[in-house]
Amino acid sequence: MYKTGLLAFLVIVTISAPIFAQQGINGLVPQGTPVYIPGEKPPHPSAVTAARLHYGGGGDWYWGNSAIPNLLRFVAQSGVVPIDSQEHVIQIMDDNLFRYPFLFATGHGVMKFSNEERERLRTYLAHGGFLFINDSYGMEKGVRKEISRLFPERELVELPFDHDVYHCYYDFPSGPPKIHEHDNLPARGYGITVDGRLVLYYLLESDIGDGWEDPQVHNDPPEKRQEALEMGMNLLVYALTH
Amino acid sequence: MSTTEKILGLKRRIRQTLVKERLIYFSAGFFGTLAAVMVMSILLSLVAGIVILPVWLKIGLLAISGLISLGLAIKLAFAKLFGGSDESAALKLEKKFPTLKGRLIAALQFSAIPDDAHTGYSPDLLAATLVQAEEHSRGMNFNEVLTVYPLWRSLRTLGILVVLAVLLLVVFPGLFSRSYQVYSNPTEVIAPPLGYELESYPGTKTAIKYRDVDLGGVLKGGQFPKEAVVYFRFAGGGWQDSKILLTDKAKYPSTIGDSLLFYTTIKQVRRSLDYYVKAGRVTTPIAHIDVVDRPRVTGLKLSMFYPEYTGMTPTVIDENDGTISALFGTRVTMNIETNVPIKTAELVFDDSSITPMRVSGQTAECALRVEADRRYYIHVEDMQGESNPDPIAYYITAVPDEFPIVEVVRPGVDINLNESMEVPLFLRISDDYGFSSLVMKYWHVADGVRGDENVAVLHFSDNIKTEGEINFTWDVEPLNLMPSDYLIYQFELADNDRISGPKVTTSRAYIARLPSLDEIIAQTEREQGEIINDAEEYIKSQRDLAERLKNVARKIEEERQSGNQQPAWQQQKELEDIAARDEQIAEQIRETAQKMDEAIKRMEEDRLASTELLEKLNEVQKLFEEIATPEMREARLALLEALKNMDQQELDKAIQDYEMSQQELMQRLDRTIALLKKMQIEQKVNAMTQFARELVEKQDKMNERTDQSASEQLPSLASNEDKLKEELEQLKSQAQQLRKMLDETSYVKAHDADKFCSAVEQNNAGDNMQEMSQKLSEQNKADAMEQGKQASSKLLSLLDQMQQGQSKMCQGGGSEAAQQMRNAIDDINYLSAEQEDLIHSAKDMRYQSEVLRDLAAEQRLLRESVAAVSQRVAALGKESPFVAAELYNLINNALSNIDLSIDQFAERRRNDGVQHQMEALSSLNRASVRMLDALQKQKDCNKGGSSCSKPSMKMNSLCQKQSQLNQQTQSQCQNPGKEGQGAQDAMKRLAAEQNAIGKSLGQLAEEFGDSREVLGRLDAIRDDIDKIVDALSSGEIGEETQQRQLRVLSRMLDATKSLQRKDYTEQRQAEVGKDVLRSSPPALSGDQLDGGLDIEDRLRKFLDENYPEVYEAHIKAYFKALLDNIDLNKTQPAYDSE
Repeated sequence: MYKTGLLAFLVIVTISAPIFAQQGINGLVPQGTPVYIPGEKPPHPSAVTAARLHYGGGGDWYWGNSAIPNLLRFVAQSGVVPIDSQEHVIQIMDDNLFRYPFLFATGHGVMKFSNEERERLRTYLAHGGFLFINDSYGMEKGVRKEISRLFPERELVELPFDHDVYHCYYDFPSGPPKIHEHDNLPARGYGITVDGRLVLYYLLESDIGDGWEDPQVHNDPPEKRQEALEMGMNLLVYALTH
Repeated sequence: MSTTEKILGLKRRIRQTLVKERLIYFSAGFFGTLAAVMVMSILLSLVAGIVILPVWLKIGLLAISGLISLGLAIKLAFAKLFGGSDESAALKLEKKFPTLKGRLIAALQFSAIPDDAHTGYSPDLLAATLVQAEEHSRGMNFNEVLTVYPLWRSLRTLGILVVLAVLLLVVFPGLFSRSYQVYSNPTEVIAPPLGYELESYPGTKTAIKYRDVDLGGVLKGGQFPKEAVVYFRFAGGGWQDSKILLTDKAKYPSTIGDSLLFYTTIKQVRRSLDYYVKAGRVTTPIAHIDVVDRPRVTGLKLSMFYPEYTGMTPTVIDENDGTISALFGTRVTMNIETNVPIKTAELVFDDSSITPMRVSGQTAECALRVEADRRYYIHVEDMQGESNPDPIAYYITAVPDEFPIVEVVRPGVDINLNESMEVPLFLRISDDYGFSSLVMKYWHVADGVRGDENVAVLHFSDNIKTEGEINFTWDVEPLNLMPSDYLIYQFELADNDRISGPKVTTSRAYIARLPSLDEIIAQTEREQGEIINDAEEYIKSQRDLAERLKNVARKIEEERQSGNQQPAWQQQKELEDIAARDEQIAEQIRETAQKMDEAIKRMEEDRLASTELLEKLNEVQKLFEEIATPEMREARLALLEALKNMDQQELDKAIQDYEMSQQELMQRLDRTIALLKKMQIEQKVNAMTQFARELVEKQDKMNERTDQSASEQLPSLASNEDKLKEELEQLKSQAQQLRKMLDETSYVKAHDADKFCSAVEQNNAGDNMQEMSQKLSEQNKADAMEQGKQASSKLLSLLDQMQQGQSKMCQGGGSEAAQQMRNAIDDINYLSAEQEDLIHSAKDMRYQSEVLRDLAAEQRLLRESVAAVSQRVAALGKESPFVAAELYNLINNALSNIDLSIDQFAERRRNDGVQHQMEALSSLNRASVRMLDALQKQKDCNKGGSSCSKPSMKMNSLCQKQSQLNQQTQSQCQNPGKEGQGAQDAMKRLAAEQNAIGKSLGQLAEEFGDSREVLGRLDAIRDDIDKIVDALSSGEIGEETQQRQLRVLSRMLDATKSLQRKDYTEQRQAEVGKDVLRSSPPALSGDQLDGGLDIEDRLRKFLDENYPEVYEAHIKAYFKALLDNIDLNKTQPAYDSE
């Protein structure tokens, strides 16, 4: 019953969410422009599109090529959201940034934005966009530095376990799942909240991105992969409903 | 006038005369009575004054006197009022006036006869008589018959008595008062008057509570009694007395005039009291002392109003304590309450200044500002002028706004910058009331010259109010530090004191230095050398211990042979010393392992070692940690235990085990040293390669600077180029050191290492550098640029050669070790199979069969093979750190069991022999598995490592090709005159080669399995390659094309390095996560939520903005759905399993 209602609701959100993400670029995209990236297969007109963020700084933004397609497939199979299962890659200064309500960034190295990129990303996030940074290992220093530049007035804080992001679809009573072991530390989810809405979620020591990948890539047990995908689903649902 | 009337008139006159006479006699009697009373009074007074009259006598006298007086009054006075009659009056008149001749008497008598009475007299006669009496007396003055003499006499007597009384009063003043006192108290015996008077002291009055009160009396007069008693009674209590000896000359030395004051002191009276005093026969009336409180402060309340900048809310201190300790500038209002209404109240400070308080009944208040440390007390005065006793001294402490504290927790020390060029900073700031600013000041010191001050304002979270931690990374890359440059930085934290002005604290100045690579290398080599030296020292120490142990064992044996079964005290002591020293060495080994771990971490930070090398070093470090095994410790403890138990057999066994453990330790140390030396060489090679890479980068930067500098600036660059040349010389010097290290070690790839060194030594980029420096000094930019490019090209070529050399050294070492491991596994598996066959053979034999001896011979042959494998594994252990010590133990265990089985079979004990065979087989199989693990690790290292991995090798090969291509292109450019078809063909060939390199890069990316991994690193190269191909194809090569080719090569080399690091990182993370239970982080605060808007507000906010109509509809639908969803969420759990 709940899911049926949520499904109906998400259909509406699907239509409306990208629109909210466009507030910052009114005028840049003429009305009536089809919502797809030139050169790529146009998605279903009402499908939600999530994109991989191609960031600067030298980090391997391209890490885990099967991750996003698997997540999107998982979401699509759930039937909750009509989602475009094709992975899109986008840079912050791309005109189509605001077409995507959900951005996924991952990798191991340094993430760095230019001043213009920061300004645009802030606008994007403050107007309905959502950025999920999955620290695959070794991103922390760079990510923290960049987030502090992105939101100098805000603090990147660890989210409590009762936060919506852990309960909005699947229930994670103990916070973010631990998918991969790096430094024998617990998984931690940090966030930046704007106007009461979580706009940026930084997941450390969990690496759900690896959990989304094909089974043979990291040989993760099925239950771990399932956890990772469920957490990904939560993030997507949160981004679309908040 | 009728006769009757005349008669009546006459009678009236007579009556009047009678009345007057009566009055005169009455008056005379009255005064006479008075005179008698006075006489009696005087007499009684005299009696009372002379003697003490007893009550009865006194009453008797009074009664007699009274009766006499009464009698006299009746007789002399009142009786006169009724004395005489008309006839007697008439007779006195007749007598006075003889002419009347009885007519008056007759008239009175006849008039008394009633008219109807028949007396025989004629009425007329009677009437005539009456008329005649009237007529004869008519002119007569009847008053003449009256005399006042009796009255006069009485009055005279009375007057005399009065005079007498006055005289007596004058002579005896107290006579009559005394008499009055005596007779007015008829029932008491009134003593005669004393010579003194007594009054209570201080009389009825008010006293102050808790003060002493003097109670006593004042004697006036003379002949005071010897003692007096003060009687007092507190309210509600009984009477108490206090005797006072009035003759106590010490206390009452003298009287003052004719009075004496005496008293007793009641200490600290708390209640009201009554009292009276008795002295001699005199008792004073009861007097009352009303005890009242002095004014006291019974309540005290302080309200603190702190300076606004502190953000502190006002506080009220209602603890009846006037002590004030508050921030400088705090305003304090003080309210006091007193026990009684007060007239004035004031604060009296230690400098005698006074702050008056506003008084209202029993309360008072005032305000003051905390500005200095002071002391004060509260002085109050009540309506009677009494002040509060012993006022408490309070202190005012003006707490200064302390200086803020800024602490650089991390790094907290001067640091060397690593390749990331970032300074991770962790500051801890605190202040008592908050901050106003935090800035970082830094200076760039280059070539010993301190640059201008730079200031960076640091913003930190608003959540940090009075203390907090600030974590940030300072990216110093934009500062373009050169090696040996350093930054001096410090932090200045200002507080928010707006009263005295912000106070600024400056942190210690720290230094972040960019060390030159040779410094890092030197330090690493030194550390490595120390570790090796330590290990060699441990071996030496262990050998000494082994020697000592042998001596002890020998002596014990000698003692035993001489009949002494127990070891002597000296030998016991020696064994204890050996065990203690052994433990000490084990501890030192652990410390060295720790030291090595830290050194590896530093190497990793400094990127000084390749991935493979780091892996190996980590393994060696683990070996170090495992050198001192628990078994060795047990052997040591067993030795000590055996000594304690004094059991000879146990001691022998313990010594034997201990010797074995020592040997094992030495073997492990020996192996570790061998590995370390090998690592040292590889590390040196790696460091030199990195050094060369930096040299390339520096030369490129130098070229850029030269290109961008004006002519007059060029000479200043010459010194920088000279430094680069010096660094190149250092590289060559390191090559010589490497040769020396190779000479000292039997390094298997010495030939490749020699070529590596030769490449460095033979490189002549230094000549171009020197030339460039010269041209820079001459401000010849073009030539300097030319020389710079040549130097850059040669350095790039050198780097390529070095990487190739490094690759070969690594390739050989890694794969050879892996091959040896494979061989060892094959051997062990073969021997295992052989052992299994022998087991089957043994099982097929009869128990105690003679053939068992033949089996023992076969088993012996097998043993030799196992021993040979053991030696090979030992040798392999010195080549590869992945061959774990456990592997040796397993093979040695197999050997031991084989030996035992041989013995058993020789004695034809089949079952026991088979048992040992089985154990030997088990050890061999486990050794095989363990060797397989080692092989896998070795392969992983080769694969995940740096230049040893296949993709990396290919990348190296491509780098080499690109390097050659660059040289060929440069050669074409330097021979512009060579034109024609040949030249065009050559160009096309070069274009084809460049294109092939590009394609190979693409193929390489596919080999990685994730094209993005390579493309992400090399995507920029591809564009350059395409342009180079175009340029070469068209034959339009020039400066730009050469630069592009250099850039391509540089990026390819860089990409190789990046791949190595990424692979290392991947290896570190490839583990499935384990769930960790922990408590939830705290809920987000309002600030962190940024005052989240509710949905209605958000809707309103969105709708306030202008959107196209179509969007508005979507927005409304969105919010409607959102609201519905929220309602839904309120009634449904977050996750429904359906």
